[in-house]
Amino acid sequence: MKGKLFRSLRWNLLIWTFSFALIPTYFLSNYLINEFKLIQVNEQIEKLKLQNANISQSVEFELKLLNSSLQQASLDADLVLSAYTAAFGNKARFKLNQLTANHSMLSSVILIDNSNWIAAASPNKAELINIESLAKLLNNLSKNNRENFLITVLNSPNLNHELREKGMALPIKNKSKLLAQSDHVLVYIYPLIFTASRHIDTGYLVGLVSIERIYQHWQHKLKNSQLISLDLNQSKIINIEQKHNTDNIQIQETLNIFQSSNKQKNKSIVIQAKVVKDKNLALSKVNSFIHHFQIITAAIIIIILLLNTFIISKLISLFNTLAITIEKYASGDLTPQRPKLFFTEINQIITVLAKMAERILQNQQELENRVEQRTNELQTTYDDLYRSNNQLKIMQTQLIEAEKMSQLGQLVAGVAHEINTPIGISVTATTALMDKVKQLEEYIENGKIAKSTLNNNLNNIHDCSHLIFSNLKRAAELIQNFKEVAVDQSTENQRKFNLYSYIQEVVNSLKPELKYYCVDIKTVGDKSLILDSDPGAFGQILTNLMMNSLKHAFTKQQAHAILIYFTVNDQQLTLTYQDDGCGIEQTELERIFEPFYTTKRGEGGTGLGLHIVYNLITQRLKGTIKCTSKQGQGVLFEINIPINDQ
Amino acid sequence: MKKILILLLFITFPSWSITQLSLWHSWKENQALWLKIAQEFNNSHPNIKLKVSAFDHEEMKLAIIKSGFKLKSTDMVVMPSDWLGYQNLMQFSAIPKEVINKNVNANILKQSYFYGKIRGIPLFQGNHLLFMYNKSLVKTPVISWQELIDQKEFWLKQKITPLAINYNEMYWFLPFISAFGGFPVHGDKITLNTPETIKALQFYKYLADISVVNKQCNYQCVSTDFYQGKFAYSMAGAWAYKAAKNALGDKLGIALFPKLKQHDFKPLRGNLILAFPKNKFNGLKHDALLKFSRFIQQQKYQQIMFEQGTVFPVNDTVMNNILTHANSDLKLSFKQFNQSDNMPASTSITAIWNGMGKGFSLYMHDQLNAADAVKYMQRSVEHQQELLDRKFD
Repeated sequence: MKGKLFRSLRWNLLIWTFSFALIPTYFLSNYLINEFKLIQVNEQIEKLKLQNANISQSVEFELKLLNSSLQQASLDADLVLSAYTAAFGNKARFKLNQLTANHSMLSSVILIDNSNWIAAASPNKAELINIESLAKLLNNLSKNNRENFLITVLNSPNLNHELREKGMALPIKNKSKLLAQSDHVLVYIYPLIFTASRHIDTGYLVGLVSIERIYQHWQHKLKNSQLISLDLNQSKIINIEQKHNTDNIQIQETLNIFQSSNKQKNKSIVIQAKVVKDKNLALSKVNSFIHHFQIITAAIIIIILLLNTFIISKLISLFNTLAITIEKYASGDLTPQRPKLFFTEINQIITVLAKMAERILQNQQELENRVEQRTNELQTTYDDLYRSNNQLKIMQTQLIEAEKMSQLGQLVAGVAHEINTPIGISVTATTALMDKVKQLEEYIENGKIAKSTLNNNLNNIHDCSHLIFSNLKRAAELIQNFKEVAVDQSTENQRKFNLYSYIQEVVNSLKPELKYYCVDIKTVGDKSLILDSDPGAFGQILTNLMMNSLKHAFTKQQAHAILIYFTVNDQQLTLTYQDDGCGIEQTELERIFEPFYTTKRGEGGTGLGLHIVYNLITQRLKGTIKCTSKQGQGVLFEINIPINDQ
Repeated sequence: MKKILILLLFITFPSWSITQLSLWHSWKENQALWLKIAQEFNNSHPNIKLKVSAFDHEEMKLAIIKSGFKLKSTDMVVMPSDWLGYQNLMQFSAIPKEVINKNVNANILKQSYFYGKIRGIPLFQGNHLLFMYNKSLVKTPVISWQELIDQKEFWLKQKITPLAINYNEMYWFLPFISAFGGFPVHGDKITLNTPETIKALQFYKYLADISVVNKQCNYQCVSTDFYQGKFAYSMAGAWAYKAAKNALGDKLGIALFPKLKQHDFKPLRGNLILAFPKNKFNGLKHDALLKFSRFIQQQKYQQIMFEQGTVFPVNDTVMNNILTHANSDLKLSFKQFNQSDNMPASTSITAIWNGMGKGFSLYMHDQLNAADAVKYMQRSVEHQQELLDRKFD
């Protein structure tokens, strides 16, 4: 199963894609995301620091601005005289309202005359504020140099309560955000100074800034973070109960409130602000981004996988198509397949294969044509050959026939020639005889015959008759010989016989002929050998051979020897006939078995002897004969004849 | 050196020889008339050069007080007689009785006394509120506040507010106290912390709550908005009669203020006086100021002021003559004038406006209930009065 899986191109591609592309990408992206998150945390801290530094600066700036405005207002004649006279109420209220409108951190601004009566205030309801807690400060300031102004943080729960009730409405509508309350109020006290008459002591302009308001102002500018405490001289002037959460980002920022007077030159009220930001909240965008990123990554991975699967399927399908195409080609269907496939490369392969198929088809066609052509040519050749063969056969037959006819002709010619002579002589003698007879009859009829003539005629007739007789006899012998040449193919002569004894009989039957020659005939062989064959054939063979040795090889003046030797090996009888006669010339050796071939024509030879031997051995006995001889060294016939088991 | 001094003296001689007088007034709508008076005075007094400046009412008051702390101050002001309560701040000159025209009504003159001395020359009287109505909307004017309240649906359906009123101005609110039988001051005593003031506040607020009046209304409501028919009735100053007449013509109707539970509705009235802050009358320009004092009290200018400024002369001869030939509107205006409460020249009446306004505002913004509001008013006004009673250096 595993092997199959790994051998599958589809699974291989998928596994590779997943293992070597998607998983590393996933882990790498996760690593990068974590790094990114870390950077973001640091960035958030820096951002929070920067943001709070900005807010701190902004608060400082606003408080400075407030300080400046209050200072300026303390010189405003309308305000100064409002505390001094009973005439400027509306104008003073208008200007105080401008101050509260322009300074959002201002909880209230109060114009207090030198009898500690609120001459005017903004908002209007602030005129109802109980300023007892401020009295001490005012008195102290009054005793000291009235040219100085005082900025201080006053711990007065009552005043703060009054400010909540009668001060400016909270700028933040959502009061639930104000989780902490402070007992402290930032107090600005400015002696009212009438520039036209500095000696007039009219009262004070008092700006009240609730620490809660600073807190709110600060908090309002914070996004997703919480100002948890404001500390003055290491004691908390506002504190938010914060659930202990270690997963917070916390920073500390300093708020310097410029405090200037002759005695406290360059001194500032230093308030430490602690701000926390929930890390998850701080990184909400990042987390959201990461979440989106993860979703997108997962989606991309899924899409890539699906796409890959699709592409691989397509690819595999292409390969399948390619394989099917190739299989078709392989199975012999060379019809060019050109399926439209998506990938150019595969299309190119398909095109190349189609071209190959086309080429193969063409080649095959050409080959077939060529084969057909060759076949046709061969057929033609074959037909030609066949015809030639037939013709040859015919010709052969004709030749054989011709040869036969030729041989027959020769035979006939030989026979005719052989017979012609005695017959011719006989005819001539007969003609002569008839002439003589006719002559005699004429003589007789004419009666004019003389004895001598008669005798002559009779002698002539005798001679003619004798001649005719001798020649006819000769012809008869020739015909007998011809009859012998025509070998009897029948098996009537088949019988079992002792070869050695039979040879001896044949030799003995030739003794009348042998007596004219000095010949030593020796027979060597298994004397007990019994053959089931045609003894007559053996007899004719040996007779013809011995007669040939006598007639053609031996001279009567010389002693000669004939050796007949036979053995049996492997159901084969080898019979050797050897003489020590004059031998046969090489040129003659090749023709000795041809019928009527003789070197003694006219000397009584017919040229049929060895031909008859040859026919007997090859046709009757189904054997072979081979003759070897050299001029002057005798002749050797080796005859091989198959024999049956005895 | 001597020659140079002589030359300088010669060059500056014209300015030396002409007395420069300055007059402030808050009667801006009659500035042309004042310029004409100045021109005629200057023409008849070649050695005096009168310069007239118009101010907003409140601005002028503040400017006078401020100038009281400076060396340079205006020579004359035409102001309401109740401002005499600022005597300690404004330091008006005591004016010999002989300077006052003999035909000036004695009762009126009484109101120009402060600290036992005449501090201003009475010029005109009036300054009361009138109950105006648009005749194209109103066939018969209401005679009681209840009737007006009953009609409110009728008007509101037509998208008309029943009554135009300068809601947040204490000059408009104060008559309601008197309608309930009270008054903010009795002599030098502040009498704001009274059930009448409480009722007045509550009724005043009630009128707004039921949309008989609009809390946001100001001077525009009683003038242009009323002229445009957005309001059926208007509580407008007598000083605005001429503008209303010009705008509405015959459609302008004037009636006596409706009664409140059988009580007459009494607006305040006052006198316009010519005063000399920072004791200018007794200064270097005394002669020139005296000349102008006599010049302005001429019957001619009393008549002109009546004709163009819609104020009643203080000169009985002129006044009687006018009443003889008065039309119905004038007669009604005068009748209403006579049914008005006079504003005494005292620190108490001067002190009430600011303190009343603050208490009024706190009540209207629900910071204080009516009872607490009047208590606050009382305290505040008393404190203000203390300031006014204080002798300034």
